[in-house]
Amino acid sequence: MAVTSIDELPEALLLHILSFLPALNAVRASLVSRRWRNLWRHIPILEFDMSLYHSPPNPLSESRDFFAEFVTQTLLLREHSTPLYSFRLVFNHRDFRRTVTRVNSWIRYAIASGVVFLLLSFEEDLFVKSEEDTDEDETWQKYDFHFSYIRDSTVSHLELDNCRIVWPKSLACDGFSSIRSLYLCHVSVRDRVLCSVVSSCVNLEFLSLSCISYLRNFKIHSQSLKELELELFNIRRKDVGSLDIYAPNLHRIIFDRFSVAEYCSRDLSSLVEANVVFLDDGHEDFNCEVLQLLTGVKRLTLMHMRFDRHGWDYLIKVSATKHTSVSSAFKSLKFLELKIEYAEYELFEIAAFLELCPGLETLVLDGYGENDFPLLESFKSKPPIFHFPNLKQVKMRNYRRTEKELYVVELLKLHMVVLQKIVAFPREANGETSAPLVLFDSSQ
Amino acid sequence: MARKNRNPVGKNVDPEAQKKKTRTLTLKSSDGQEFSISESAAVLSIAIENMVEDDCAGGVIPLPLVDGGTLARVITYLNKHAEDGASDEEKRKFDEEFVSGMEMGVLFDVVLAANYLDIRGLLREVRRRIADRMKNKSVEWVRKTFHIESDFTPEEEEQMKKEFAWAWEGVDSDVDD
Repeated sequence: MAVTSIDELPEALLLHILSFLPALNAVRASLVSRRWRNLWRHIPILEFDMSLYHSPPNPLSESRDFFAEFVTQTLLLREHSTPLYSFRLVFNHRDFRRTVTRVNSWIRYAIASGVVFLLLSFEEDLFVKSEEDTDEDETWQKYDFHFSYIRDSTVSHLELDNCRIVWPKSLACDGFSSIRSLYLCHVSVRDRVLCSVVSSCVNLEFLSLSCISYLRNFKIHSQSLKELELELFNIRRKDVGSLDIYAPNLHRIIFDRFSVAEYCSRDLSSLVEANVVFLDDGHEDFNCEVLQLLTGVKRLTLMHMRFDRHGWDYLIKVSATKHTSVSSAFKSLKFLELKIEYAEYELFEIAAFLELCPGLETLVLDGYGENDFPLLESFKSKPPIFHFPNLKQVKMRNYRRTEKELYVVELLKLHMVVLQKIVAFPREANGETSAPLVLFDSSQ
Repeated sequence: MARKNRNPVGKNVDPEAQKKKTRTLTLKSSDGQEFSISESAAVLSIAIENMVEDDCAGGVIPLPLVDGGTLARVITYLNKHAEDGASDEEKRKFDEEFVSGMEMGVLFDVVLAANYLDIRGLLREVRRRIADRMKNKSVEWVRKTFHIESDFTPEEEEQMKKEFAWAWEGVDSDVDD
């Protein structure tokens, strides 16, 4: 076959290739040859990224004007009978009043063209301010995204970055059934608005909330939700902030450096998998209260776990009130993955935590950090006691054969009951992956 | 011929799936080379799956539009994606490496083969890779790399640049390598 020229490819393939390019490149490619001249008009995926536009000596306002003109012309001149599948806009929006009408018209065009993926990003600090930027206003405000724009639309995947969601009190809740996944990042949203958005998107399956501002109380009540990601939210004061979840079909949840004062779950009966990354900023304020929501899961991954005394006591107390016995608080847990440094205090915490999960079958220890200090003698003379009557398999990722890792292997072997295998996956060195090592195999 | 209901690719749970793992098919390239492949890997290509289901295969499946070198690459891809126990992350990493070393001509061959054999994942990966190479390149670079003769006169080109002035303002000149 041996194709030597891109011109031998069928037009549909060329269109797909152009779809992966920023709109600017795709439009400019019209000069390549006659065959290419009108290809860009039929592209179903449009990506407009203002960061391609700014060259620092020029004032930002000028780049913005060129960019705005480009987006407007492209949308005006494209073939309108070609459905638009995906529309992505990355816009530096510090001076919103001058362009807000145009931005609104672009978004309306995309929605009217049947867009399925809508991604809007209004990054604040995209560029270093040049001295000629005189039109910047001190009272900079976020772009207002009126949720009613997407009523009765075909949008199924919505991503908003750096804007504010507007939802007037009088807004009716119907007409948002097309939305399946929603990503909100650096978005300002009120308690009432988030609650309305989540409950109005009646087919919402995936929700991601990252760096949300303004909000204090997360109320997430959804029949349809399957996956939830809560990221980078932290209220230090103990008396404010809450998370209230009712999601009977939720099967996976991720907490990434997320912390509020109060947790409440009404129904998480389908939850099987959870991922928790604890705060790792040197404060003693590690709260493991979030774990009370997760007692029903089968698979659990924990990172930077550091239970302070208060948090640990709290967890035991909660477990005791919810279950007849503390020792079976995590009785469904079969798979546990821990990201650890193999520090002495961690091993004690892990041992204490394992007491709560008697059904555990697989334990994954993922090593991080470069800590190679030898084990303390005081630790060796009184090591933690591991209790796992059903543990069958241990996997050690990023294995480096340190003294601590080897010691842990010995500890695990000591307490084995039904343990079948310990496998280590050595850490990549110079881009080379080494083959897994079997450290223990009961069948041999 | 009416199509039977298909299982979603790679999600077979029925006893059929087990059979597919052990059954092998022979694929024959345009230049007559023959390759053995397990059925479970081969049917990741929707086109091959249809041929198998319609039973027009009869042991050897001829692929007259794919040459031996290209077919060997495609089979490497299929085998990896049908591998038991390969995690999604592993597959992603494999995909990345699979296309990263390919020359442009090879990418075109593979994209055509993936299109013809209807292998969605591979098609997406290769298209993306071709697009990445085109990103922020000048018109001249695209013509040279892709062996395209311009059929515009210089006057026409000037005219178009004027007409589309809005697409040529405000951005630094393209970076070619």
